[in-house]
Amino acid sequence: MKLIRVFILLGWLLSVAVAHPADMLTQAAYITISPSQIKIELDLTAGELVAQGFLAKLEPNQDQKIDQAEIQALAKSVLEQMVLTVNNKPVRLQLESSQIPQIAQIKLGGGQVQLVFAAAPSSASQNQFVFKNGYAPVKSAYLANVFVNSKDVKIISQKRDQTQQTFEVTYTIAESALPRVFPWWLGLIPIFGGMAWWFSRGRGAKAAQT
Amino acid sequence: MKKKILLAGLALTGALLTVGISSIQAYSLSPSVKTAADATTQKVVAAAEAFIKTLSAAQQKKVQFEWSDSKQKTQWSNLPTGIFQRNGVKLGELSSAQQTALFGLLQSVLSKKGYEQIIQVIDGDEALKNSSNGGNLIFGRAEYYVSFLGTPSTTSPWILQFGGHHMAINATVAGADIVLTPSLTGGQPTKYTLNGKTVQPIIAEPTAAFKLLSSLNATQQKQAIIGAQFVDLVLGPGKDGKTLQPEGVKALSLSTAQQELLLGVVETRVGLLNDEDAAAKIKEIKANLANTYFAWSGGTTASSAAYFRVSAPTLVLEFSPQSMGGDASNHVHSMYRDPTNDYGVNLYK
Repeated sequence: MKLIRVFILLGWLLSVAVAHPADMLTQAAYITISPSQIKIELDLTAGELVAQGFLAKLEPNQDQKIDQAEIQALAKSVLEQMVLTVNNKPVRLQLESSQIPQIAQIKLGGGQVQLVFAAAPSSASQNQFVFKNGYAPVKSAYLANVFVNSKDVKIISQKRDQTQQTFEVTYTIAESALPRVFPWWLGLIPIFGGMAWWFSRGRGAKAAQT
Repeated sequence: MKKKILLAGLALTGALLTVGISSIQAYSLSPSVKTAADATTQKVVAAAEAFIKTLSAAQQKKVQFEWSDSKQKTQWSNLPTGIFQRNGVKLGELSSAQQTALFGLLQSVLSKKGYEQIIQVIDGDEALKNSSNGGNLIFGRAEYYVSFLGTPSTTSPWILQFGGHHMAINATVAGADIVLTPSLTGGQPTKYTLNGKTVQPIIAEPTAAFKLLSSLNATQQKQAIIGAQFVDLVLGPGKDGKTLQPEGVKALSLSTAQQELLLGVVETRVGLLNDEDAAAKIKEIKANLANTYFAWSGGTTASSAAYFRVSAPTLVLEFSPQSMGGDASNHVHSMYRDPTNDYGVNLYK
């Protein structure tokens, strides 16, 4: 009897599925490149059939509120499973902002959790980034797309694996738009200059005394 | 004498300030269109005014939004009532005469084919309502909303919004031009029986796209197929202002016959708009054909649920089956955008 009820419930859920993949967590990555920053917007939308499983990870204390600590914990879990390398070097991603819907919306399968991560840009003109998203709190479907918000950035090629968990993009940044890197040793000049002046001043004073 | 001069000066300053402020307000609330209204626009404006005239004062207040209301402009979705709340007046609140006037307005904006598709999608949602218990979700014909941003006019831009489950028609009317970008169409179920007839509102798009895919040779298919699984919409609701980077096979490398098939895919979506404005859009797309791309993600047999996309400098079309644990092609979402002209931003100043 219980089994029949489960089938009836499952049949009902499937028949009224309303939006987005109902039986998966859609993870859509919108990667925007500008000369000054790489930004990754990750939109997490749990279908109604996996919403409870996702909520269990998002809101483990089940107090029906998603607080800052839980958002930070979610971002940490995502970052542990997400890798961005630029020109074969891992890039540090930091949570820049987040938008969390009402829990009721998530339960119904229409609530979108949005995490925005930012990373420092490349200082080279010819570049390749590789984005890997291994975050899978429940069965997931992945999307990864690249955007540019500057005419100085040109996308050369895009390549994905079959699940879109790995996304490789080659791109160029116009030389004129590259971030100006301040050589660290230039900072030593005023320090050494100041020390030289201080020593010469001390010697001058000593000479005057003798 | 001094007092008189002072008073006159104050009055002049006040008058200048009033004129200045009202000019600024007029400019910000109703920008001017770039082209003079043509016969189609005049017909659409007349139909909009006729519909608004049928509404009660309370309904008129509900249906009308300021042109500058950017929140309302983006208040559209594929989701049904219960999980997403639209504003405006819903079909369920309209009398038969009011509904007739509204449908007259939709007929003036859309093509015959476009209007039929909209009605079939609404009927499909009614079929969904009758075949399932939606719980907190409210399906059906009554749950389609209409609203206006700006006042229907031949001289200033305005937007007709009509939407509900799987539907968001945003028609910007500005002078001689009417554009449908961004608009979302789709449906569930995609096949149903009404009055003994089988109805398939969304069949033209995947059929045209599969025909194009089948015409591609192995090299072209390798370029066009960007994934083995169907995926969700990339530029769905809430994704305004994003421009996809082109992917897939470039139209430049297609034969003339294949380019015609590609235009056939485009026409299934652009052709929802009235014939005159759709023709202008098709002309623009043909001019950019060399820089148009076709991409496919999913199975490659006729029965496969597959995502496809057409992207061009002034066009993005997406078609996405939705996984529900059953047949994904029974629930689809389609998106139509113009990265340079969503909400008709280029049509007024």
